[in-house]
Amino acid sequence: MNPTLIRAFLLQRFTSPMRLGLTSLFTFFPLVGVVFSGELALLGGIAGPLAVLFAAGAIGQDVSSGTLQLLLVRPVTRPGYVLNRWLGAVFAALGVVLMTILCAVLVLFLRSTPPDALALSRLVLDSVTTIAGHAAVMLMLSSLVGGVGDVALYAASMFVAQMLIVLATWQRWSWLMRVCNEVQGVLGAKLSWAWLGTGMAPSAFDIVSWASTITLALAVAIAVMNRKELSYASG
Amino acid sequence: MPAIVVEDLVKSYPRGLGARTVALAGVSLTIEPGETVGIIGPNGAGKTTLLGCLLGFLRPDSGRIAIDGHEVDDLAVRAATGYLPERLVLDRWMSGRALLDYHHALAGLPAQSRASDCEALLGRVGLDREAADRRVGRYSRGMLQRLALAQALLGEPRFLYLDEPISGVDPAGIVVFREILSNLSASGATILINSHQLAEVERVCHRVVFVKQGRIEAMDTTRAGSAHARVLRVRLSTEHPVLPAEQLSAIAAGAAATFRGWSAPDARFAVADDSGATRLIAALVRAGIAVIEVIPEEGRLERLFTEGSAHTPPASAYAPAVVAPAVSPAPSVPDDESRFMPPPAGGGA
Repeated sequence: MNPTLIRAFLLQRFTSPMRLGLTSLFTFFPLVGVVFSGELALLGGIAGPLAVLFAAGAIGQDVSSGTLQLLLVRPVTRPGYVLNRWLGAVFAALGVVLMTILCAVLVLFLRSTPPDALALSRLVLDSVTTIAGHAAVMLMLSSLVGGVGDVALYAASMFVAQMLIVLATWQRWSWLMRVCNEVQGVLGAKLSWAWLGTGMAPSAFDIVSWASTITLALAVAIAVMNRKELSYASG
Repeated sequence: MPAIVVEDLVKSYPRGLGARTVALAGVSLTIEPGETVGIIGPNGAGKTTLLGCLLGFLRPDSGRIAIDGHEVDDLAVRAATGYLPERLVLDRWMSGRALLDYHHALAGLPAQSRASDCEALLGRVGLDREAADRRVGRYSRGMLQRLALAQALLGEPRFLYLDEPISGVDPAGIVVFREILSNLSASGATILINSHQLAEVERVCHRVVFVKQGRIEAMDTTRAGSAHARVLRVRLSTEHPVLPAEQLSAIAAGAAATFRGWSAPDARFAVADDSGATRLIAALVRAGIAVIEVIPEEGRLERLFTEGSAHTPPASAYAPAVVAPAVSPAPSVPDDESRFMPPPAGGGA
């Protein structure tokens, strides 16, 4: 872990007006929902979008702008750079999610309806694993395209997969349905913690799927970065 | 041990349909520690590609590079490397001071001396406190160049790569740049300068390599072009009466030179080579003419550059050769390049 790289990444993400605006948008409405309904589960959907938001362009923007050249002149390895970008995106999204959850919990306490400790634990753990998975996939996409093209790639893949699922349902093509579900599962890598506190064992398949998606995504990002040539002459 | 060794370096870029553009066609170069070497050549000659390979940004097709006996991507080499890019793509959202702090930390330099090191470097490149605290996005081109130079100098690098270092810098900045390079060179740093500012390259470099069509010729700047004809501008003291043109022509003819006329306040003479220049100056002084300055109309490098480039086939404005489908060397350098001086003993192409 390189604290300098992570700190600079966090500063950059949290000083971007566009990102701050979208962060407010993603967190404000669910928080309002919690205030009115008292349902903490409404915050369950913010981790994925926030991870995408903070990981968007994590590598691609450095490559497009050319700042990566100056960075890699320093004693920083390319794999180290990728892993620290991932950690940075995870910390950024996780920080916002935890702050949002904290605000929601405070509101619930003020309403004299304190949240269930188990539900709260599941929400936090769900958020952590969702953010780790989404950020890894975004890092992989960011290593493939410049700028914030990873967001377009992510959205396009999700959209195409969804359209194909509709087609597969209509045509009763179970194999296509399965493929598309797998693609969506990879793009939105997350791990369910619903088993927590139920006395049931966690699904080993789910854990392995989630962990292997993260590993594969980061490995691809590292391989792509190791092969990438950094010069306008090479372009 | 040489600071930088480049052996038979070949680099090409894919150009579609199996064709490849050869950017470097077997470059070999040895640079000694403490040497300041300029890389000059026409656009598309391969200068940036050479620098990219030396910095580890580009992967050569074949050949070998050793920096201080190590691979280019060795972290120990990187820790001792400074780089000033041509495109000043600094993190625009940071302040100048924050950018230096950031690179100081990335370079693994001691945190205790961070503030003082950065402050000293900002002062050294002439950026005041107000400028240092301003966002990089609001910097002028000259200020960006100074800041980029400051980050390149962090930790007193032993290997310094400068790509167009004085582009957009004001005269005061150029003086600062010269002084910094001189000090660094004296401290034993090996410096590579890629620039089109030939007069400056000639002034600060011990040796210059001329890159053309992916190949290089090394030359010694002090000897470069010594056998070339040139026009000298001789400035005469205004305290003495100006001699008539006929008399100046006669003096020049006696020194095997040609009087080309007046271009106030200078008299212009054409000479055949270095010794012709010596004879002309001696003849002028002997004739009682108060010479206060003699300058060539073109610098040595400028002359060689112009003439060397003129012999390059004009197609695609010096673009590297395109071969298909396999990689093959760029066309050989024309015979006329034999006029370039051979590299000094102990280092060269």
